[in-house]
Amino acid sequence: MQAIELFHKQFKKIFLPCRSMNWFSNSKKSDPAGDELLLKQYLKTGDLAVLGKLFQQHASMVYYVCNRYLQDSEKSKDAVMQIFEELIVKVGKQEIRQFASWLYVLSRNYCLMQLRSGKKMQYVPFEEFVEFPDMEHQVDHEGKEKQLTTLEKCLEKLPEGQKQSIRLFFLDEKCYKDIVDCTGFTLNDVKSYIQNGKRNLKICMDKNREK
Amino acid sequence: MKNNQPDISLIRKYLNGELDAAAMYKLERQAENDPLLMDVIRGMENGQKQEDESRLLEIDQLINRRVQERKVQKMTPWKLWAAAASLILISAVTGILVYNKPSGKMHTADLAKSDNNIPAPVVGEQNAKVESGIQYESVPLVSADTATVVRAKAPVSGRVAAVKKPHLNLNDSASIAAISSAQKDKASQIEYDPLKQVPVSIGYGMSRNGNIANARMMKTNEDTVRNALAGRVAGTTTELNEVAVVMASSAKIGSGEPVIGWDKYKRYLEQNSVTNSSWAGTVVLAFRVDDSGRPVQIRIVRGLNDAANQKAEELLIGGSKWSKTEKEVTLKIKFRSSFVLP
Repeated sequence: MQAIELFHKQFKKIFLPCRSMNWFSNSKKSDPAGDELLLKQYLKTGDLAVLGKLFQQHASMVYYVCNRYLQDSEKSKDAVMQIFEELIVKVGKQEIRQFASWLYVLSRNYCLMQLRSGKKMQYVPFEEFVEFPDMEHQVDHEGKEKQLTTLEKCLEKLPEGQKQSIRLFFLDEKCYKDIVDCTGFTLNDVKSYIQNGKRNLKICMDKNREK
Repeated sequence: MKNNQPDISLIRKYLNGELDAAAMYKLERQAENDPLLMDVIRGMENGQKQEDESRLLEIDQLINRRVQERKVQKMTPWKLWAAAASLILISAVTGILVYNKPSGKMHTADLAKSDNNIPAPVVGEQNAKVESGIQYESVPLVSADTATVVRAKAPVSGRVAAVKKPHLNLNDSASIAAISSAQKDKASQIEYDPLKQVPVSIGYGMSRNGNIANARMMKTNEDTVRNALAGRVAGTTTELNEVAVVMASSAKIGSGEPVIGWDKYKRYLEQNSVTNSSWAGTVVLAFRVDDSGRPVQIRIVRGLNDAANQKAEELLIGGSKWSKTEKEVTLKIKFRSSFVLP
């Protein structure tokens, strides 16, 4: 029984998002309902000022996303304006349920296209933004115990940096800075280890499930 | 900018190391599961606070300007209606002008208009007509956009004056038929002279007594042609013979002509178009001129019989070279029989 609880704890920590910490829910001014209202108003009236107002509320997010990929503030500024132009064209053609997420995808795709056209792909690390399924309800008790063993095995198989970082971050709940202090890795190393370790862990788990 | 400001400031604090370990972990843990947040954090890491803030200010201004641009450009509904009405009006006027525009491909298109008093020649369309005792039949020569011969068959003693109804149909097919009077022993034919852009009346007609010398060829000026078209050729006892005006709409001055000149060429045809057989008639050929000036791609547009068709082709091939032209040339050869008519 304890093993199952431990599995739950570990599995949730590694693979499931921390639901209590929704970025937008923490935001005082973030208002998906307000976004929806403005969006409907724009679609009804076609008044660009309304769309401009909606976009301005997310312009910083778009700018920083662009800066993350393009790594140049001037280019990022231009990209934001181009994304606004794309928004004008696309906003009426697609069904948008959550504007912020939709705009993020639009922005990221625009930046990736820019990078692709500039052949700068090799300089940008890409993460796989994988949606992990909620496996909690998919396995029975026996299966859970088996998976816990597999998880432990997979964790052991990870390279040392990844294994250490994953354990410290997910199981010991240490922040990056503390991991840096504990291990002597650089901050960027820690981030990479966690990202890559998480991905490798998932691949390993999937392989074992297929077996 | 306004919506996510608290989070931006939280991230800024995180990047500045102003958060405690628990808060840092909280944010990092959230970012691990939220690619958007991770990207924003990394984007902020890449930049510098002052620079980013000034860029964001610029972006705000640019968006405001962009929105205003669209407002200025936006047309009020009544303006839209006015613009639409103007477009429709312009289209309608253009349509009327185009529709009423005379088909001016042929320079002779205004022949009938030039003199309303002149009874215009009859132009047949596709079907034969009987009008004032004269039967007209149209025979497509080549294709609709090149030429059409309209032949008018008159009673033996019919007068040209019988043709009274001015009915001239000049369309893009550039077909025109003219009825002219001619001597009993001559058949006249009017053809288009691309050299001078005037119709040329050529006679390959057979003399009643078989005297080839009576066959004549004459060039006419426009007035003559008008007269001919109007059936005003002098002679009260003349009978109506076959007369056709062949107009190739694509004909150009100096193009598609025999290098020896029309006069000599017609004489050549005259001399060689007499047959020993009992048959007589017209063969219409169409051909193109190759780089060396030889007629190629010869086809029979209107044949008479195998012998006549072959003879016509031989005459064409054995004749003069032609001046280079991109257009298809149409040639009409009228054969006369050497048999004396009873």
